[in-house]
Amino acid sequence: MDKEGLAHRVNPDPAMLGELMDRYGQDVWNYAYFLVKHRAMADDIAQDTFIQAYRHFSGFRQEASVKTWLLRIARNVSFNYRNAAFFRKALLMDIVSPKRPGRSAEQDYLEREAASEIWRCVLDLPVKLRETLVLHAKYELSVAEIADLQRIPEGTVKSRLFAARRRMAFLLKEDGEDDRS
Amino acid sequence: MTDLNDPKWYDQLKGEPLRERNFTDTLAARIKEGANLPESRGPTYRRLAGAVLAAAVVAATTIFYEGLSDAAKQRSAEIAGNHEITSPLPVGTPLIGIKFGPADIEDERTETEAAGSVARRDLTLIQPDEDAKFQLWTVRYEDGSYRFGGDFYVKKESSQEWQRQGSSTFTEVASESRLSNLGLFSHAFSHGEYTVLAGQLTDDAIASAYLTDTNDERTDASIAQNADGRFWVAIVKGKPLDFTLQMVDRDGRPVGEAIR
Repeated sequence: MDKEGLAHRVNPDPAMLGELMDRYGQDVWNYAYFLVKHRAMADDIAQDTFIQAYRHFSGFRQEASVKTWLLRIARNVSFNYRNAAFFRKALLMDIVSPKRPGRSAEQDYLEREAASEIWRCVLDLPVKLRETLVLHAKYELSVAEIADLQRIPEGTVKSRLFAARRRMAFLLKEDGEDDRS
Repeated sequence: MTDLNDPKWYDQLKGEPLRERNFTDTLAARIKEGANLPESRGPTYRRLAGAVLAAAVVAATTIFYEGLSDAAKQRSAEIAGNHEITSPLPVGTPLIGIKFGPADIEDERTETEAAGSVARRDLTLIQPDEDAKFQLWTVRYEDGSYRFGGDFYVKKESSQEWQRQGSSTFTEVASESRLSNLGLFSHAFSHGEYTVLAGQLTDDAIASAYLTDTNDERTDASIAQNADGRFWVAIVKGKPLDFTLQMVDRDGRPVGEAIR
């Protein structure tokens, strides 16, 4: 579904919501997960994102891509979640790890389910670097689009990308050394 | 200074980060259901923020919170006339019901009593000061869901007798979310100037728990047990927004990371 495909949808309808979720559901969920690294919170953020998109469809600016629009909503929702102490407390669920004290269930999950060592390293980056890197590498947003989404100067985006790549190079080298030892 | 040439590992980031697909059909169905509910319900975090704010504003008023949930995805379950738990409310149903005034006290009293006739079990009595006390209790349903409740009492100035001000409950619906599947949940509700924070413990390694506020003042949680399970309960003054929770094992070692 591109922006032209949505243009004729004056009012949201359930079919449109279904299309949006079919096409962008996993992307939105992934983005939320990149930001919060917590599956249940990512579920909630994805839920609120699509519900907001559905209800406020009239706010969709045609100059943006649908994907960017959804990511923007998801980002706002995520930040509200992260800033709400109640949801920080939701992370309490993760502190119980009977077999391995000190590790959360989410950490265990990530260790087990990360698709590759590269992703494991990405998810180990600080959130600002992680977010910027995945927006560029995975979501293939331009520096200008990332700057617009994050509401920061393009120079800052470039700096973060540089820092993220440098950190990744270090982490990947470290992992390589671990593998050899 | 900036090298924007894509490294060779960049292509690998175009794929999925996790092995399993997490945007499931179940989640999609939940979203569709939620989208069709009235908009006034608002996003989950707003419901929670509103509840906390309401607790502060109406501190002198009896407040009845139902289903205030950190997980924010647990659904409240109502007790039907036959005192059996009914089907969970539709997805998106507000997690918090806030009622004011004497009529609502009657409402919740009826419900509390109804709950009591199902399988209400006293958990512990906590008296945060001379003039206030909470009787905490639980109800366990056949499907594994729990209701955690607290009756709030204050002393009458004239007679020094305890007078019930109201009750609060939250319900943890079994098998509803990943959070509950992890075997531990946490919730909070407020009465007057106090906030009750509580959760169920399923990890026997946890022997105690404490909260620390931003001034590093510590509030020890009580660990209480009844036939419905083990629970931690802490009563603090003020909003539950500025506390760190730490679990401790029998040897005094922290279990997991402290959570703010």
